[in-house]
Amino acid sequence: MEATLTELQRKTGRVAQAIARRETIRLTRHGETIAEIQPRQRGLSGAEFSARWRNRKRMDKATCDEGIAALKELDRAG
Amino acid sequence: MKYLADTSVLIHAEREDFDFGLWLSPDDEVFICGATAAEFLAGQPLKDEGKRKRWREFWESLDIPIRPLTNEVCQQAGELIFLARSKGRTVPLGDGLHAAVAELDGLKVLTTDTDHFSDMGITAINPLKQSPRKRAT
Repeated sequence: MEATLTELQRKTGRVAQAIARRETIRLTRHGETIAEIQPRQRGLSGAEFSARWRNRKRMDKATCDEGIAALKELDRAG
Repeated sequence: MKYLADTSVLIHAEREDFDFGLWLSPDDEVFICGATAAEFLAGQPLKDEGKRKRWREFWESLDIPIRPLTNEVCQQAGELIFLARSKGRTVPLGDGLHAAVAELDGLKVLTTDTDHFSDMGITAINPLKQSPRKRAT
C-alpha cells in the first residue's frame, strides 16, 4: 500500500494492519516515494529445508572436492 | 532456532550425504546470505563442464532464502574481522560477512569452519560433528 507521512501519523492503525498482512508500505511525500517498509524475509522452516535437501540435485564427491579446493584458494587469496 | 548455513557446511554435508532432516527441528528456520551465493558461483569447477553443471544444479536446487549484504552488514563484518585480527587471527572476508549477518539478524551459523567464527566471538555449530538430534519431517 501507499501512504503519505500525514496518513502514517493519522491512520497508524490502518498502516499497522497492512504491515501485519506482510504488505510493503511505500511512504510518500509530495507524491514522491521517500521510504519503504518491507516485511522481514522468512527463511525455510526446518521441515521445508529438510524436504528440499532430500530432493536436491546431487553432486559426486570429486565435484565437491574440487569446489572445496577452489573455495580454500579463494579464502587464501583474500 | 534460526540458522544461517554457510557455503562450507552445504558442500561438506553434500559430500558426506549428511541428513539435515535428522538434525533440524521442523520449527527451525534456515537462511543463507549473499556471501554464500557469491562463493558458490565463484567456486564452480573450472575445467570439467560436467562437474560445473552438477555444481550449479546442486546450488539451484536448494533455493534457500538469501539474507542481503546491507551497508550495516558490511560495516559489522569489518569490525568482526578486525576483532579477529586483533587476536592475531586472519579470517576470510566471506566468513566475516556471514558472521555479521548472523549477529545482526540473531541467527546461529552452521559451518564446518567453527574456528573462524569463534575468532570473531560468534557462536557457530558444525552439525556434521553432532549426533542426529531431531527429525524435521
